Amino acid sequence: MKYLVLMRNAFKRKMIYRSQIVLELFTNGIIYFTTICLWTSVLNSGADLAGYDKNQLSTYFLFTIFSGILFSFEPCFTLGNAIQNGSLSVTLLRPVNYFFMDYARQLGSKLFYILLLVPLILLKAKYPLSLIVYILSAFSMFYAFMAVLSLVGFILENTWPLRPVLSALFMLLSGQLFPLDILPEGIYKTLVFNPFSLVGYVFSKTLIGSFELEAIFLYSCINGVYFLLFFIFFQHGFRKLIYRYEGVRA
Amino acid sequence: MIACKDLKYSYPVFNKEPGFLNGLKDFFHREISYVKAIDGVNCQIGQGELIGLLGENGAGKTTLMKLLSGILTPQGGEVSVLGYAPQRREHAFLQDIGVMFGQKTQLIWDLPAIDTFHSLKVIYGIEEAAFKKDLDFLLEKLSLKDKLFVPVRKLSLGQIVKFNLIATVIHRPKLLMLDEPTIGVDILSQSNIHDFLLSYNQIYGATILLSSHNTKDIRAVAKRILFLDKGQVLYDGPLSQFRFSDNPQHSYVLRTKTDSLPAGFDASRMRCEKIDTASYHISVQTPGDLSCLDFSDITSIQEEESDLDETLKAFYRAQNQARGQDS
Repeated sequence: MKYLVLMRNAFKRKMIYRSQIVLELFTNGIIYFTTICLWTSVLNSGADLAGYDKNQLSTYFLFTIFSGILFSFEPCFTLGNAIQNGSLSVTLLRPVNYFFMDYARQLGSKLFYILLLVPLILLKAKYPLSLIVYILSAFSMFYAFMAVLSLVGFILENTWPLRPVLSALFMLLSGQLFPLDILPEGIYKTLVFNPFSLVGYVFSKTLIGSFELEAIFLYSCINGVYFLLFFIFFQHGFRKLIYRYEGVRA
Repeated sequence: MIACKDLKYSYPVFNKEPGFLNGLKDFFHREISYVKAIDGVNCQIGQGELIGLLGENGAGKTTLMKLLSGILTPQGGEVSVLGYAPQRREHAFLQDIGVMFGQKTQLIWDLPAIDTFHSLKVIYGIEEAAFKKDLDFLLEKLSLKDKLFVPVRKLSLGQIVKFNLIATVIHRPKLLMLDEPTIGVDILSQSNIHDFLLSYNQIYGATILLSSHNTKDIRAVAKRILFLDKGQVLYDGPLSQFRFSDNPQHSYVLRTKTDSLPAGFDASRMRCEKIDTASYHISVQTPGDLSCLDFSDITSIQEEESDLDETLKAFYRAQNQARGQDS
């Protein structure tokens, strides 16, 4: 119940800054437009992209770019910022678990975009419930992954240098630059199960309807396994590293 | 309630000489030294006590509070608060403490304070009736009723501090640790905060640990002082007896039988100031200096509390002089 309240507050905070939402959608709209122009010119030059045509690519990139908004790097920097400005002290004084508290906040801040997707899923998707389960499992997995990376905040004074690294990795490994199935099969089969791909390429293909129920179930289970591993790693790491926290600026 | 035994904590500090070449040298070889923030603190605090934490900037007051609240883990010694090891941050322990750092807000910046209070109500499992009653009382006491639905970022510093105090006590903790709770607060609200803390202590038997550079807070609330310097407790005792050794003035109000000083008054050992008819203010270095007076002339003698501001100033001046001599 306490985490639901935190989620609700995060949702309220997000909705206060309407221009932020508009700008976010607008910026990603520009990225989408640029990407489509690029790939249209590639297709028009006669290149064969594993059988993708212009419409398929447009739909694919729409969802992969949207995934960049829904599955964000913010959790990776939230802990580092809290350590640097001392606000982690306030969290440590409350009878809450940091992992779940921040998870609730992140979910609340993205709830608007999830709610945008739900009508689309219910109306158009072949397996709407499985799709919703997949989205929630992917969100949880990616949050846990970012939470593990956030532990470097206990060691580095500033974590912002990680941002371009994460952006580059996301673009390459998630399928945001190109669909992963245009790669040779061996490389594709290796890359498709990485956490970035699960929230980019797999997310997009699932929404498009390229996967059957068994595949959606398999990917949801993989998300679950990743979540468990990352969660255990985070809890252990947090317990070990919290001794480095000095509670500055209080 | 609180027991500290040889408590120790040090902060690492990176040493770097000024200048470009020294900056380059620091890049390849960083020198670290450790500042002893808490250096062997021993104290016992019972339930219901009202404690004032005093000391210069950097004396270790806030670090001590962080150790007692579990934000920091001791590097030496032992600490027990409410029967728990604070650094384990067990939920049952956190449920019973309320900590406020005047410089650090616990309110959600973009939302009105009421949203923070509702989330605290759920986090701490406060019953609706108790929550409403306490919140109404606190809002009235601190004159904040009309600010409850204003986003926190639009409030003044004093209003934010007052709301932070509400957030600290709303779950009725058994132990309150307040670091600069009246910073930026107007004088009427300061008085209301003092009254509130005293009545909170009386009603709930809560222990209050208060750190403030505003000695009015200490004088109004604290009954016992822990005076820290360089991470050590230099004084642990009643506020009324808190004196600095170089300024050991003991002050008394003397009431005499006649409108004249009592026989045996020695101007070389005593300072005297007439208050009104047959009433004098006497200052001596030690209580023993009074023995020269003829007590048959005196109807009553009452010791006054030391002037806290003067005591602290005298100490800080002496410390600055000592540092000036060392360097």
